[in-house]
Amino acid sequence: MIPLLLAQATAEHVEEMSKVGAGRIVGGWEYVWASYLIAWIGIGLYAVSLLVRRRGRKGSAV
Amino acid sequence: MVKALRIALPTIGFGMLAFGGWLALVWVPAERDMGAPSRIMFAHVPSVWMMFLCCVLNFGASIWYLAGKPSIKVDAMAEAGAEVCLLFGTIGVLLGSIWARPTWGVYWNWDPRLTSVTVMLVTYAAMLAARRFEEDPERRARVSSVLGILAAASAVLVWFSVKWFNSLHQPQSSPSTTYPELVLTLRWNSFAFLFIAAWFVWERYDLALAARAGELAPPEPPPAPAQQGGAA
Repeated sequence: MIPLLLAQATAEHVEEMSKVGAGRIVGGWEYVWASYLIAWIGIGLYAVSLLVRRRGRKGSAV
Repeated sequence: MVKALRIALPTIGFGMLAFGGWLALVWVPAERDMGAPSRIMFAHVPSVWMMFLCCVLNFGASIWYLAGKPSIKVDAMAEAGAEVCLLFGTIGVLLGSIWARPTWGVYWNWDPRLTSVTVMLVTYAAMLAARRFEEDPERRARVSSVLGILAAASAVLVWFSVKWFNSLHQPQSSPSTTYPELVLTLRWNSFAFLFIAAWFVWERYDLALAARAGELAPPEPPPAPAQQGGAA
C-alpha cells in the first residue's frame, strides 16, 4: 500500500514539476512591439499637435 | 542661432530615437531572465525620467510664481511643464502596464508605485482642465501653481514608494549592477527623449506665452460709424 502511494505521489510530483518553467520568460515580442508603437505614436502625435497649434497661432496673428 | 537650435533639437532627438529603437530592439541582448519584454525598459524608463524632469520644471515655476515675482512667462513655463509631464507620464505608465503583463501576470496592480503615479498624473490632468475653465489669468495661474506643488509632493512619493513601502515594482537600479550594452542603450534613448522633451517644452511654452499675451492685449477699438451720406 505504502509503496503504491509513494509511487503515485512521485508520479504526481514529476507531472507538476514538468509544468514549472525555468523561471525565464519565453517570447513576449508582442508586448515589446505594442510598447514601442504606443511610445512612438504618442510622441509623434504630440509633435504634430504642437506644429498644428503653432501654425494656427501664426494664422490667427496674420 | 535660436532658429537653428529650434530645428536642431527635434532633428537630433528624432534621429537619436530612430537609432535608439534599433539599439533597443535588435542590438542589445535580452536580459537573461525577463527575455524580450526587458526591451520595454528602453522606452519606459526614459519616459518616466522625462516625466520627473518636467515635474521639477513645473514645480520650480509654480514656486516662483507664488513666492517670487509672478509673470506670464513663469506661468507659461508651468503650463508647458505640466502638459509635457502628463504626456511622458502617460506613456511611461502605459508601457509599464504592458511590461507588467508578462512579468507580474497582470496589467495593473494597485501597489504603492502605481497608485502614487496615478494620483500624480490625475493631479496634472486636473490642473490642465482647471486652466481651461478659469478665465481670470492671475487666479488661474495661482490655482495651477498650488496644484503643481501638490503634484510635485506626490512625485516625491512616486520616487521613494519602492523604498518606503512593500512594492511589487523593482527599486532603482545602478549602472554597476547591469551589463554595459544595457547601460549604453538606456543612456542613448534617454538623451533622445531629453532632446524631444526639451523641444516639446519650448514649443508649448511659446504657445502658452502667445495665448497669455493675447488675453492681456487691450481690446481692439470698435469700428468707426459709417459716414451718413446725402441730405437729411
